[in-house]
Amino acid sequence: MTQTDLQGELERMHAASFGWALLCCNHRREEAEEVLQISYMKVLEGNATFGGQSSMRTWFFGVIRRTAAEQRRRRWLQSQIFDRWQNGLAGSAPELDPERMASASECSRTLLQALTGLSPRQREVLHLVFYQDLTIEQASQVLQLTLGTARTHFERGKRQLRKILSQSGVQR
Amino acid sequence: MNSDDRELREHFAALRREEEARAPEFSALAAPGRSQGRPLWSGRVVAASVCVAAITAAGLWLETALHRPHAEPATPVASIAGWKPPTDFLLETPGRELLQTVPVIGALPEYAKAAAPHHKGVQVKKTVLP
Repeated sequence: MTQTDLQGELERMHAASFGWALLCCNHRREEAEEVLQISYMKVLEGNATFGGQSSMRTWFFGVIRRTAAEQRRRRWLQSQIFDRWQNGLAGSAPELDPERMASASECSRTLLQALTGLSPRQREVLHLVFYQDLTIEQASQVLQLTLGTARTHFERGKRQLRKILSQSGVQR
Repeated sequence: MNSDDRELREHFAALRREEEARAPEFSALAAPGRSQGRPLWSGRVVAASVCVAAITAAGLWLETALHRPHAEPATPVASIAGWKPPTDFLLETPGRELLQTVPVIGALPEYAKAAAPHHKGVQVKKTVLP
């Protein structure tokens, strides 16, 4: 695959990739942009190469997920070193970007809020299946899980999400 | 897919539409000379520079510490055996000699000799009191 083909393929997947990066960064827009930029650089500079074992999309989603985890670790380390001195321990619960929440519609806001009540794995599987229209098998490849594990996370996540949404009155 | 799945899928689809509308331009993120954000290598370069600077500083300090000639002290340090505290004179209390000597019967102590008049060979006659 030439550099131009690669760039064209990344551009075609850009919107979906941004959505995935947002989820990996707890819907913090700035972090998601940074993660996506680093992921693009990894691919375009040849630091991450597509082996062809899976689809280009599932492979690139894996790159984004790994990059987000690296960035999260880096931020955690920085917060341990610097913020701890100044502000004490920060809360570990995932917080949504307030700017993002303000600009979202009522329905999306409720969904985003409900998603924070799921485990990270459940959130990721549901996002990949419902948001990205991947199959559970493809989702398991992105998350490097067995198909059975991914299916379990999918079913439990769905059940939990329905429960939270029905409590908030969105779903009947 | 059941109706519940369809409903969840619709929620996610609405979220996707919103997020796609606000997604940044591909060229803004994939352009090599993007000024916003931090390139991947910048943190590593900074960390490596700090390590090199720290190692160099430690090396230089060791070098100077090892090759520094041992300077002799300006004044010789007094031995503890010969040292006298400045308040030692306070221990010289009056009548200290009395406590330091053992009295001998029939002999005048040194301090008493100094105080007594010199009547060599003169016998003092003792009188018996009535």
